[in-house]
Amino acid sequence: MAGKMDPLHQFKIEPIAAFDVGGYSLAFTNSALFMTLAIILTAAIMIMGSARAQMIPGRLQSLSEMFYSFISGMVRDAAGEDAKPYFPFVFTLFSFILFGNLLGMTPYGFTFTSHIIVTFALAFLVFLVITGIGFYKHGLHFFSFFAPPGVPLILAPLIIPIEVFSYLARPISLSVRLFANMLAGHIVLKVLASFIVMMVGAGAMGAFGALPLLGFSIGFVGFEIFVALLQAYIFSVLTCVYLHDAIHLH
Amino acid sequence: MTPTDLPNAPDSDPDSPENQAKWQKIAKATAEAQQKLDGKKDGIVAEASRDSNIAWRVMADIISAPAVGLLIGFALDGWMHTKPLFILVCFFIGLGAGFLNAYRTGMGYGSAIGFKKKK
Repeated sequence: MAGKMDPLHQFKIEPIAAFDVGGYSLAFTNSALFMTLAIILTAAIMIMGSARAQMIPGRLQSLSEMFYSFISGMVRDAAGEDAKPYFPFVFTLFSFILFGNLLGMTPYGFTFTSHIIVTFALAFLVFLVITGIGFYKHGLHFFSFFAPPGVPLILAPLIIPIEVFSYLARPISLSVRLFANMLAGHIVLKVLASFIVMMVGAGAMGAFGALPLLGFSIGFVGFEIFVALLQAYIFSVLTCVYLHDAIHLH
Repeated sequence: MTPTDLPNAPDSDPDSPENQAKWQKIAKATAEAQQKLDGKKDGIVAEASRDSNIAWRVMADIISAPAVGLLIGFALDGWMHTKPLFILVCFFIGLGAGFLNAYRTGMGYGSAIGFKKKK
């Protein structure tokens, strides 16, 4: 019973196929399984949606076209026309996170985005790619990014470290935001569901009392699906904003 | 709606009073639908989700920058054996950066460095 009521049990990573290399475990885990599923689903939607493209699109074609034009619009609006070459990067990020979040909402699903190591790896990748683009486009002039225009010279020793720190904090704030949202939502859902089970187990009165809670938890599932979409959007829109900074500096 | 319900059906005169009435009906329905949509946009749910979104962003901003400060300070102190000088200095710089980022988020300056308003 105690195991069943543990709201953190759902985040446990369990190996499916053990695989050791030189003393390190490289097991294929439930987390890896859902990452693979996320990639397969995205690829399936895009490939099947564009396989028999027609003038009047069917359901799947509409879905894949909407998906494509949504991200392409986001890249254009948030990062500018010059950011078009980086569209595949943002698209991959968005679809991977979106399907990771949504697969976590399915029964017996596993939310790999509720693990900080996953979100941090993604955010750090974004940080490295964007810093790389910044140096590639502007060379050493990229460092001028840390000196905001219009700041008096006397304030520079204070402002520049603050700007550098706020730049270095980007991967952490990006990853913490996604991870904390997914983690908190899933814990609340599990706690609510555990309450309902406990109340129903307490007898007829308890079951009657659990009804409003059940209604609330169903509403909360809807809210969590909204959060899953929103967080994937925020992660990619911030990537675009950072991309815009790296391409245009100020 | 059948094709003859629409104004300017191939076999009708576009300026006939009948077609004019149809145009007005469509314009009225469109305006009503737009009004409904506008009302929904500022609904309490949309507002709450926008606010909670900003709250999450501000929280992440305020936590992450001092955390980075602590990490850098810790590394610098370990390297130069100056504990706890850099931990303190970098923590406070990080705190400043965190609040600056939170301020930018809250004021809609975007997350870019500097104080340029988001377009």
